[in-house]
Amino acid sequence: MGEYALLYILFAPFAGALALIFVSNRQPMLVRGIAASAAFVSLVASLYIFYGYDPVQGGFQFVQKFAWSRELGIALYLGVDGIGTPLVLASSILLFAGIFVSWHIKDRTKEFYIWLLILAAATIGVFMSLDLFFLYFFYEMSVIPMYLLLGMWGSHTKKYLEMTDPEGLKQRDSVGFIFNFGSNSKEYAAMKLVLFLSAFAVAALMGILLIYKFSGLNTFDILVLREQAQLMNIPVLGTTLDKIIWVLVFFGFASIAPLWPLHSWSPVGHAAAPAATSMLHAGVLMKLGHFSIIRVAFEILPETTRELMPIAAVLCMFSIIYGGFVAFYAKDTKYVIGYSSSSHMGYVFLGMAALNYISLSGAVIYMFAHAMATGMLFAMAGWVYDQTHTRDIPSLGGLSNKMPFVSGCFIVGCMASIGMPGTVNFVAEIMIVVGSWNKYPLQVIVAMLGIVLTLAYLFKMMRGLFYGPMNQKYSHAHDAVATVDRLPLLMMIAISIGFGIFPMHLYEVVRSGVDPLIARITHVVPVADNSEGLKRVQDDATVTEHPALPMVSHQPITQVSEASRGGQE
Amino acid sequence: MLEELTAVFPILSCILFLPVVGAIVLWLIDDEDMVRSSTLTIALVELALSVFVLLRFVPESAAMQFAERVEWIPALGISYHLAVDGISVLFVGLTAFLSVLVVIYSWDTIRHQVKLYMMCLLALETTTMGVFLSLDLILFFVFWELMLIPSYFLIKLWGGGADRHYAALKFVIYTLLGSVFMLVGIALLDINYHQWASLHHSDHAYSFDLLELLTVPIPMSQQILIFWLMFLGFAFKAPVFPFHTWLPDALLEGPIGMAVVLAGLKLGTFGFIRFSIPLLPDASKSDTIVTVVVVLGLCAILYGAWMALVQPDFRRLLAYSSVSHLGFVVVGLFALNYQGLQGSLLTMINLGFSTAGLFFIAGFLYSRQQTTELSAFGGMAKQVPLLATFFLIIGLASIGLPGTNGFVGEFLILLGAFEAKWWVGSIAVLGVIFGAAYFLWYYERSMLGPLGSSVKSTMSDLQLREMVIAVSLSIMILWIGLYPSPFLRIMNGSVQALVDRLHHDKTAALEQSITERR
Amino acid sequence: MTFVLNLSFSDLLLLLPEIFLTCWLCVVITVDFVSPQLPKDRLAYLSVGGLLATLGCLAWFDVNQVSGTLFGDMFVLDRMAIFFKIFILGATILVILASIEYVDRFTLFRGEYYVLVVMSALGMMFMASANDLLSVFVSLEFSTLGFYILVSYLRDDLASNEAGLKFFILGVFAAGLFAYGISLVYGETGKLVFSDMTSTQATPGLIIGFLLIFAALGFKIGAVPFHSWIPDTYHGAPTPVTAFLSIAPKGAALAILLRIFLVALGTFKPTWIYLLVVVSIVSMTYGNIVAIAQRNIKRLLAYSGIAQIGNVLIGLAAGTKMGNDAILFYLLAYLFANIGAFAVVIAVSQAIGRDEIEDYRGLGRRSPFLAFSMLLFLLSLAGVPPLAGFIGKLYIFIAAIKEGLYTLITVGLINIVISMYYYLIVVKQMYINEPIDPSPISISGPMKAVIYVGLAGTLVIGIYPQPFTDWVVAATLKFANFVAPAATVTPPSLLIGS
Repeated sequence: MGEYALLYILFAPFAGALALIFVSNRQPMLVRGIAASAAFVSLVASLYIFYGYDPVQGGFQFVQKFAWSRELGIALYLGVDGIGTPLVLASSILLFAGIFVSWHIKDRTKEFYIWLLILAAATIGVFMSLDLFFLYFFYEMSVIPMYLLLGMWGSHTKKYLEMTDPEGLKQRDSVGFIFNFGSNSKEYAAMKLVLFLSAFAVAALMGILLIYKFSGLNTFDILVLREQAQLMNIPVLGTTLDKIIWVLVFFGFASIAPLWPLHSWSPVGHAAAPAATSMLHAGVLMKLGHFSIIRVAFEILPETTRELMPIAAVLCMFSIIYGGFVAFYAKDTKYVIGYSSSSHMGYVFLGMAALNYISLSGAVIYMFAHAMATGMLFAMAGWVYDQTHTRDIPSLGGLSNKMPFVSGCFIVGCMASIGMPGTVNFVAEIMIVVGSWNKYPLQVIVAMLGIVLTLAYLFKMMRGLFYGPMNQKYSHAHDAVATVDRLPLLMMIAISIGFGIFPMHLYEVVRSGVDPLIARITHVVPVADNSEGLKRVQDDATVTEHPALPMVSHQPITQVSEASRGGQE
Repeated sequence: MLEELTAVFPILSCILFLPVVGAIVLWLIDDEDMVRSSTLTIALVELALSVFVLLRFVPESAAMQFAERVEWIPALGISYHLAVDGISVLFVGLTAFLSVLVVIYSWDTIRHQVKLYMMCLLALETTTMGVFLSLDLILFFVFWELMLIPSYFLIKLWGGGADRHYAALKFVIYTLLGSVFMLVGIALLDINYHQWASLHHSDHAYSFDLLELLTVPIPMSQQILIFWLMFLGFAFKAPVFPFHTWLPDALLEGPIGMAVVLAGLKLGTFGFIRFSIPLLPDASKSDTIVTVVVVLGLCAILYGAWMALVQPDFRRLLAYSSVSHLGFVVVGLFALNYQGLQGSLLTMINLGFSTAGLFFIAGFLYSRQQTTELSAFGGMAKQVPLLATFFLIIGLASIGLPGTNGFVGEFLILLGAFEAKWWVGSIAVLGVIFGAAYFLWYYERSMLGPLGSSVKSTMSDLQLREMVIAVSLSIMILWIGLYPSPFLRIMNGSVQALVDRLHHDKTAALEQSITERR
Repeated sequence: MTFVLNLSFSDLLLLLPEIFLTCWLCVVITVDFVSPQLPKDRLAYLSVGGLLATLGCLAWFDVNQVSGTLFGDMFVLDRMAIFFKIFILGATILVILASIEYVDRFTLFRGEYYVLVVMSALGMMFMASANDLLSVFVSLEFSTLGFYILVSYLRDDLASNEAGLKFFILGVFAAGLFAYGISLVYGETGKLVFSDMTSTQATPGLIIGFLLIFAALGFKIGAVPFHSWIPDTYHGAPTPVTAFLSIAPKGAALAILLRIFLVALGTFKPTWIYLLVVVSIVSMTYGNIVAIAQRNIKRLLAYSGIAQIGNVLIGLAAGTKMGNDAILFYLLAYLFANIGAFAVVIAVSQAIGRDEIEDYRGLGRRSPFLAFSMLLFLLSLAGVPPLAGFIGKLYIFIAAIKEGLYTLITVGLINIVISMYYYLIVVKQMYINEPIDPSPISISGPMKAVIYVGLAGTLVIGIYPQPFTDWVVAATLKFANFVAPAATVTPPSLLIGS
């Protein structure tokens, strides 16, 4: 199966969706079975590529190429590098988990799974497409299912349901009313999400088209473009074209990331979405932004990236702090998690902005880590919602007696998303910190405070949900006991902690993708290196000379250490 | 034969992971008494192992002993590196000792969710051990952070106070606030190592290993920055004077067991002596830093003592008194001379017995009166003579009466302080006087005099378990007080090495002190 | 000048489809007269059969690349003509199938309905081949004649009559403009055949003449500012006729526009590009923005049609062979999506009797099939991958960006987002809102067939466009040499605005 793995991953969900069309809603088990097996196929295949990927060789592997349209120079060109691989894995994990999380959906089960599968498949498609056209193709394709998933299976916010005046309702349903402070309907959320994302997506499309035209190569092939596109010094509007393209692409894709101030669609969307959708949405859909920026801007416009990436470094601070504070004051579980996600995406931008081997690897690993962590949180928020039919934190409480398992997992979820040592998030965070300090100390400090903030609001929420006095209204709530309910949580926890303790393979894979990229952007070639087959990192600071130190003799303790280690052998 | 055995046998890992494994085992047990007894067994085994380590430990040596080192994330230079030296080994013993006492104490005082409580306790022990044992900064940080989880739940679920939730969250957030800065500091050390390494083409790009970090020079400016970052981390945990506000809440609201660990094990100041001072000698010596920190220490001494003087609630009093004691420790540390360092190291151990002991006493009182408010007591010496006696012994130890362990430590500290700066010493002395004042005054009001109105005549004296706790504590107190040299000999080597690292003109003597390793 | 008419049999071969269809038309009429009580759907199938035969004949032409000119270049049969004829016939077949049930609403002349439809199709086939101004005029009027009647076919429905009247008056007015334009152009150049005019100089009279002609054709395709008749007519006319009107005449008129702009005026491209840019920008924006306010699905589709024409004109403004291909491709995508959407509208209005957007509440529950197809058609119109409309739009944008029409593309992209809004409003009604009466909706066989064809087209073109692109590229081969060379390096000014 080897070389076709990517096709399995990409088309298994599509095939599943297609098969579901012919199944009747009257056999829910059959529907779920088909969906689950489709997801399982792509999960297995993506595990295969994740462990089959050869970090030492690096580059794009499992490549598949089919001519698609000669006139437009488009080919269905699939392949994953060290950056795509973990994200593909994350997507299929979350899809698989999401199928089980939404196991109990009664209304139009079939349609739900169809759209969920299409959503996931489109997301996966972005992560593996090496052709600008298909990158956009799948990107835009992933937006529409969100509309239906939110609209058909989503939920209104409490405030909205409390509103009685028809005028107010109408006002909040209308798209013009952007800042609605949490009191919005699912229709509003869905429409806002789609329009917002499409609006910025077409900006990115404009950038892609400009690349297509000015490269003059009549191709959308990223690899060809990155080798041959000469967009640097075409003067335009008093600046150079590449800057315009870069800005279009960056902000076009950063909207889904979501980078402050383009974030406003995201928490609204999270809040309205059903659990599985928010899992995929926060888990992987957001990463489409970072990934596409890396694929398009970083690959094709390295020079410009080096010049303009500080923009991200500035904005990410606002993402982190703003998102954190709003999450702290939010009363709606999903708002809290949604804002926390958009605040955590700031870390990824920080890692990307620093443009150095460690930090960018950290950013990529963080994407993977955050997918797991936020997946857990959303899954459990969804469970609580299914049990109590409210997401309103003040009205909940004391559920830990009712659902010990879920509350236990919730603690792990909080720990993971705080970046508690032992989870893969911690590895990512420390890498981001180490990597970006030399360039952006201030941002690093801000990010660190962001972690404290995260702990504050997550613990606040945990206390609000699971401890304190219990509202008797919810005494019927029960724990996740069935295997199908426990499986997704346990799976994500296991992965998060497993990679936290043994991050080596993940790290090597990511590095193999990051190294050539950074080398092209910063022109600092990693030195060939020691036994582990890893590249030695060497960022710009090493070139500057090292300030002299009042000489201190550090001999003795070193000797001791040598000796003691000798003793140990 | 034992030689090879200890050379190959990963005893530190056993010490480290025994409790957490035990906790997992507990999970399978249902019967509560079974849970209690098995927890006690685990704690005792742990204690035995630590005692074994203490016995096998070669004193008068700066060497890192029982070292275990396994690559964990080689790419980032993170390794699983455990070892003990004169600085940390005593804490290992102390932790094991206190855990046993806490288990014994909690035997009948904890009524609900016993199993979970014991699991948290054991998990806490593992993380604490981890902090003392690990030589890799990331590993250290891992345990440092993980410690928060069990602590949070111990305070939150078994705390006695009304707003324990608030206290728990405050505790966690404050500590995390500090430790994220520390994380940055660690990262900076790492970056610095990496820059130095890639200049000199060493074979590791990155390293978080204490011993390797010690080998690279750090530019002064960097040192200062890193020092303050790590200082925040440790100061919040310790807690040093302006960062102490979480402590009274946590100690008052939390269960006694948690309070014992929090007040008894001085993790923050351990961090100073283990990482800050050796890694950043020049910064630690620089006048500004010394002055600032020492002044903070002095403020802590006076402020803590003054606050303690007026506290009606015994546990609050203890909280502030431990703030004051930490002031002593900090002053001693940053006297940066042999006596100072040795004294504060010893004092950290002593507080493990005396302050923790007083918390046990508070627990005894609490279990009799359901409060530690002064109003509930009075003239109890008649009612509960044994309790009063041990209360006195431990209390006098905490105020440093000659003959108790407290005296040795404080004396050394004052010696160091006077040697460093006379005015520091003379201010610190005031602390001792205050200490005597607030303790004795409280003792007088609560134990002596006419029998308090609310004191029930049915009040029973110490039970067997309580006796065990009190007696064992008193033994340790008097032992260190009367014959401290075994403890001092254990720490001498490392302290000497540290002093020489600080004042690097005495290298020759240092070589000397190292060569006599086993 | 004198027309020497000498027809050989081989020349007649070129006319074979038209001739055959004419004869078939007579057959259908006679059948209708001789057996009045014959169920009318038989007539429908009869005419569909004839159309299919014609289609086959044209396909054969296309494969064997039959081409040539007749009547002194008045009538040209090239592969583009064949493409458009196939396009028109396809549309006609689908419309006839879709209207079988609907015809029962007509009180009188049910048989003639099919005849008229086929007749105007015939006219449009001539339009596709018209190669000089006179034949354009004649065939244009011929096809429109049929529509005048069809639009007002619901005799008792005031809206229908009003629509017919509006359509008639404005149509005649347009015809007048057209005739005037022809006379001016002829007066200036003395030529009628497009291919002869290529070298003539631009004189005021010529320019005015062509502006008039453009206005008339703009009326046909319903581009702003010649769109005013569209909403009411679409609204009032019988829905199948609306469907027919929204596709076929646009295709035919575009065939003429392509010939005029690329063949006759190819040399003046730098001049007329601005005209087209303005018209297309205005059409897109106006169409989309006004569509947002619509409450009636037919009016909504009418305005969206205006916007779509704006998109098509982007390709025309590009004025290259590629732009040309893009237009043809776009029309294909538009054909399936639009006919499909109208088919769903017909099916729903058969069941409910009204076609307000509110009536689509909970269609997703009442008839998942209709709802799903409508969803796909609307998304295809909006231009969402992986549907035909997306590829079509992208094709046009790529063609245009090669000419550096940045402003145009920017506006086009923004309009995609705007259009998404009102299409999604319909989707919201269908899927998110709950139905008032949940009784399921039944669909007749031919209607199902039409919708299936629409779905197949929309999906296949979207997922595997290669054969279709090949087809359109081949269809416009002969234009390659007429087109003014594309600007190689774009002056900065174009980035700000073309």
